[in-house]
Amino acid sequence: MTSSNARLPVREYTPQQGFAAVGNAVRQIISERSHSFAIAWRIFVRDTKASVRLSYLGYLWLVFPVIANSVVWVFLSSQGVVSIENPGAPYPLFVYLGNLVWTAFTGSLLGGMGVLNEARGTLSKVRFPQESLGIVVLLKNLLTAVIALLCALPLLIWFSVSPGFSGLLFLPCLFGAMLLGLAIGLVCVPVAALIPDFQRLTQLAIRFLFFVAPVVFPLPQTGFARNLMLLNPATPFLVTSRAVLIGGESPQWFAVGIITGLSVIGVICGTVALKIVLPVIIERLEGT
Amino acid sequence: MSDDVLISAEHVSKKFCRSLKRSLLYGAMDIVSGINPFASTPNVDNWQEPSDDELREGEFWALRDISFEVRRGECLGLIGHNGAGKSTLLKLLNGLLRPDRGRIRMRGRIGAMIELGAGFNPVLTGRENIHNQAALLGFSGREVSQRFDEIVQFAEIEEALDMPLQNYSSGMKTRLGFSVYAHLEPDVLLIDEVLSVGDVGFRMKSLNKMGEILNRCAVIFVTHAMPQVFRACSQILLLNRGMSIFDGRDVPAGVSRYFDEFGQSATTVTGTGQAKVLDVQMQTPKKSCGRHETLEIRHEEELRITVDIQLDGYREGLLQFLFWNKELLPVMDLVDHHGNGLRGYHFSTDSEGRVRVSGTIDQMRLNSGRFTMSVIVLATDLTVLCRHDAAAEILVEANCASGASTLYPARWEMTSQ
Repeated sequence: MTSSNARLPVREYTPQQGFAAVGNAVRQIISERSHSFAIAWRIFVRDTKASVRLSYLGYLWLVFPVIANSVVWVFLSSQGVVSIENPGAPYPLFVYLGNLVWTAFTGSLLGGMGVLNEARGTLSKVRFPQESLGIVVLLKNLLTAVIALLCALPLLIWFSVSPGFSGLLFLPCLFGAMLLGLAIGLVCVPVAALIPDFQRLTQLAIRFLFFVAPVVFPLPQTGFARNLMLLNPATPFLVTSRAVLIGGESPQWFAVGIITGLSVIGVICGTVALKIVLPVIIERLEGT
Repeated sequence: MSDDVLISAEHVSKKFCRSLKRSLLYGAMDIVSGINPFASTPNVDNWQEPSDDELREGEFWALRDISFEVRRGECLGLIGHNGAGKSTLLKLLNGLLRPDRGRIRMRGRIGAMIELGAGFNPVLTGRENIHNQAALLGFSGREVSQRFDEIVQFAEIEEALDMPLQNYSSGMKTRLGFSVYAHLEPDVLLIDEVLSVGDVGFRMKSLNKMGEILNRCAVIFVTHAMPQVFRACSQILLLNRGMSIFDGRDVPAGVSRYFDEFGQSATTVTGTGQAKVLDVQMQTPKKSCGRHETLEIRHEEELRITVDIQLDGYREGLLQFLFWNKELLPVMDLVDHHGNGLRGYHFSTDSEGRVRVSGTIDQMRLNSGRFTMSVIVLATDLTVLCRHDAAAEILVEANCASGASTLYPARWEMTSQ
């Protein structure tokens, strides 16, 4: 009996700060990685199944916002209500893909920021590798994007755009945008968890950001608006992903590479930080 | 920590803050110092009594210097009033919260029944929820498949297995939750009051199951039901305002200490009001006490109870003395022979409606503990004229490690076969 106990893993909880806490969190994340991925997949399947089962249109609801937003802008521009300079590609396709990438970015950002609220009931009652929640956010947004992309196929055929093999580069670009969103979201989690106003402010900010990003109109060639849009970290992803799929814009691979790299670091730091501060947050989440 | 100790807490303390806004502020400060890589970690091996000096304004010690060990095959009963810190301690043990002082070590796989339904999705079926829940608790798909049938059978939900969880009754959900935890055989099991839900049948079943699991793992059991403590626990930790006030293997002593924490029960008088209890006297050969007082009595001592009664509109009645234990279960009723059966003592009053009645039991049979007495006066047609609750109290002292309410020496015989 005793010898079998000796082989069991020991968990130790002590007050911790600083390097010790960081080292411990990293060790824990690494030792539980396979469990994290398994759990993430379970939660993703569980939530998706549950949301789809509740509605008749099912998966269509996931892409409905992308489609609706695109239809509005196509209508506005075709009626001449807004004048949009020619993006060098069929406008409906342009606006649809822009919306798709933008939704993946904002969805990951808000999802990352809201991981704690989403899993509130479970977090304060069940101990599980919480880092899996970040993976769930990626999986959910990836599903939405992939379905939206499938819906884009008829458009591609209609406008007889054939992207060729380089069109596959769209996917890493899309994933980069999601990583960027998740990185921003996760880094903000501790603040968002303690200050409810923060999340609402972010939602508001994203509405404005929509207009300083080349989502429904192309990046201006010159001027103040161009510089403003270039400050938006999501811009390179929007421009580049569309460029490889339907052409018309000049890809910004360098920026995409740098920002993706930084995002990966951001996601890792955010996850480790979350692991460290979670007990403090759970203590305040309780009771609610 | 030696190998067979699966749960060990050494000098664990935890601070909480009363005000919400301030708590959020401290939370923010803790987060900053938590992720600041240059902040120094407090030395956990330097034990010193947690003092109020290190509390920030509005904070208090929710747990203070708690130490214990639980080995495989043992069950620690964690008892105390509401707000004593029991659930906080469980969350610390489960790693949901981090201690501010001290060290907690847990060996092996941990199952924490803090809230059985946490993690369930109401839209999905019972089957899907079993798989999800098990995965969440850290069990592999193979392990779940192996025990799936057992889990379903124990939870008694065979017919409802493919029904969405939202159509389950609350009892079914509880059964399912308990069953998943119980069958996955963790090394350490933490249970928070969850067994008090569900019907009597399932409660018995789950207690039996726990007895079975107990031999294989270390259990910490939070409950307010003392019979369950007697049944399951091998040691007791009694908390009061975050401090340990009883810690040991003498379960009956711990339980009686728990009951001592509550004050005397309030006196209430109900009934038609046509009878009044004017005075109460209780007597042993050595001591005596009056109304609303407590009489200390040794097991097997004689007890004599005398009451003065005033009837209004009646000239006769039936009298009973009913004793309650601290869980408000009636444990002894003093009555009289009536034909072939038993009923209250039949008395009649003088012309002014007054009478003094005494009842004596030769040997006190109740086990150690505190019991309150109700004086009950009925009319002969069994109308309740007066029920005087908590008229007086007895504190019995017995030397027997038994959780039963009564101790009765039997007439024993031995015959060789």
